[in-house]
Amino acid sequence: MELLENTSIEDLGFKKNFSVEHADVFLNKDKGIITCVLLTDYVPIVDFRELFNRISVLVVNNSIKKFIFDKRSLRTFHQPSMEWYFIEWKTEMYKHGLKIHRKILPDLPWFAKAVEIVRKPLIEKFSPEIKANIDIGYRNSIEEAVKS
Amino acid sequence: MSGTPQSFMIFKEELRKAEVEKKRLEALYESKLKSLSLQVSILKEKMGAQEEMMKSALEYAIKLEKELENVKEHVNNDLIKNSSGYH
Repeated sequence: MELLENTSIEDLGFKKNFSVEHADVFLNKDKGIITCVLLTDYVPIVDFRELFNRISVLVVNNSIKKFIFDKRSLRTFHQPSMEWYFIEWKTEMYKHGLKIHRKILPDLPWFAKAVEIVRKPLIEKFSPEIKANIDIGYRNSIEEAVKS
Repeated sequence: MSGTPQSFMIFKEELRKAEVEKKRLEALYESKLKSLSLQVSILKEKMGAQEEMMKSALEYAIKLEKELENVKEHVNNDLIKNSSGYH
């Protein structure tokens, strides 16, 4: 897919909804998409959960169908945070209609591999219904994640 | 005699100022200590997460190593079996 390097998130129809120390959160109401862009190389679990609890409110109030998680700034992920987000948060959000998840990882093969190792057993923890219907994919940019 | 009460008043005022300053410094110290403790606990959590990532990666590498050994052994056994079977 051809990518326009100078396309900003605002050009893609997003408006910044809120900012915290570790992230900027954007909302595209028309398309029903939320994009969370992490800003730091590590997010402590307390801040992570607080951030996602705020995103939950946006998901519920705006009938969000797609969530884009831009983790390119991350260098360390906290496994319990990831488990909570992957299993509990996604399951809860699924009940509210959020079924499409797009993730953007740092351009570091070792990081992608580390995520993959932890991710595999987590997918097995989803209920059969969620496993069959949830659509989780990796993309290289926000633009690509919006389009597919 | 009239100078003594005045110097006492000055002393008392200085003492009050010193106490206010002491309280200010105490509050500043407490807040810095609190912020430092928070930073330390975040760093600890981050180091623990890094350790966990390394552990997962190494466990995965060990698993791959074992699988590779099994494949090698399997191939060797097949070679031995085949070499005796055709002669």
